[in-house]
Amino acid sequence: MRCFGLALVRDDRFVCDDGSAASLVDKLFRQASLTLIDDPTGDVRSARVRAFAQFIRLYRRHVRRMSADEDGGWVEGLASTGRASSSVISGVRNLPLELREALLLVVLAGFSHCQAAEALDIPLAAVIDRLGRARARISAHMSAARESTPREAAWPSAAHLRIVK
Amino acid sequence: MTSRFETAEAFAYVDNCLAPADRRAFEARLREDAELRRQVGLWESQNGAIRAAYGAAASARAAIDLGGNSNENFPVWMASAIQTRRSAVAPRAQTAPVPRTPSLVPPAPRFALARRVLAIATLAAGLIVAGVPGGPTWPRGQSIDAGLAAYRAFAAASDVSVEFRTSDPETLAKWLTPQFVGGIAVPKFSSDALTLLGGRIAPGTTTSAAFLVYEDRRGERVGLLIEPLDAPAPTRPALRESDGVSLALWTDGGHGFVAAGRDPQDVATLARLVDESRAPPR
Repeated sequence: MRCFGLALVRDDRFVCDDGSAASLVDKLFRQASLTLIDDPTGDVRSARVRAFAQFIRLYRRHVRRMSADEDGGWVEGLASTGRASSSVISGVRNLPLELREALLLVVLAGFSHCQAAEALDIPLAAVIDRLGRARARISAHMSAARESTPREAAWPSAAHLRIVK
Repeated sequence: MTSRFETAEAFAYVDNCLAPADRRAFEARLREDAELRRQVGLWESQNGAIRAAYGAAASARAAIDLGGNSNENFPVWMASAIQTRRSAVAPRAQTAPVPRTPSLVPPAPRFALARRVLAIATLAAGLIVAGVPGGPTWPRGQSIDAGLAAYRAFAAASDVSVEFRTSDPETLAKWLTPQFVGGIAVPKFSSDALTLLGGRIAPGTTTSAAFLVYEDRRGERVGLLIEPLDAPAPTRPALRESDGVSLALWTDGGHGFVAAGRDPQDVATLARLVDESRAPPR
């Protein structure tokens, strides 16, 4: 779950270093642990789905707050700094949040499609659709990364810089 | 692979969501369809690259190959952690509803002790890494701490005055609601057992919370901390005791509730009354 959390929150937009990602994940875990308390009716699997679902809700709330605080000082789509350790990671970080959470739930957390739909509170077809779009985007990103020159890959363009008031 | 159904089936295969029979049927199709094989191979390599990049165990497929249910790669430490965190211990059989076929290679007996030690170490490390407060037993958690601190500061002594004194829940709600961005749910109930004394703003776990003070017939105070949360799944009130203070903790309707008081009966009564006042009319 921690691996999933770190992968989800590290997006080069709001969380740009591993230390911040770890502290944010720990904070969200502590908040999410509230929902793991005493539910004798649910089994372990449903408890796990609920825990992930709560973590995702809390992270969405965090993103909403951060987006509101930004006040237009950031340009969506230019979030990638190009400094990710691999094109796969940068591809995942460039995904929109709804695609990223669906993909990471299935691939990293090992959820089935039905469990991912339950955790994200969306229909199963939407999960499959998001997985398809996420995979297509990552493939395109990796292809573009392979075709880009080494200089471009190593140094990001200036447009990614955040405007600080 | 043209239809959405075929794509969904391919995704299900790649993500280990197919039943064993369906999986075998799909693999038979894979052998005949080169384009499908190429696409599935691409997605599988992408999955493997993501797992490797983020350091996840790349052994997700092993559980499927043993004939278990789809996506049974739930780490053992996580199951144990969640299971032991419950006060009501569920039967062991519930954690594995689908019987697995026996492994062809039985584990060597001489590794049994080492496996146990490894499992315990993994469980301990998992709990530490996951940031679970309080260990495998009941976690007091930040919400409990917040409720306990608010009770001790503002309600434990009968001579501490409340910030906004009123016995009318409506009046208190009018005073509290503008102080929270998303509003606050003030429970409205009338009972002879507990009388509302007033309320105040108190620190919550992550944001400010409303702290309501009630009094029973003997003049004993009971506090209720209400903190807006991001729509957590509703839970039933769970009674606990910490340092001589009885507590009830639950979530409902996007709020976390912590009731605290010296008399467990008062706390239970308050939790029941609040819970009933928020229940939808039948």
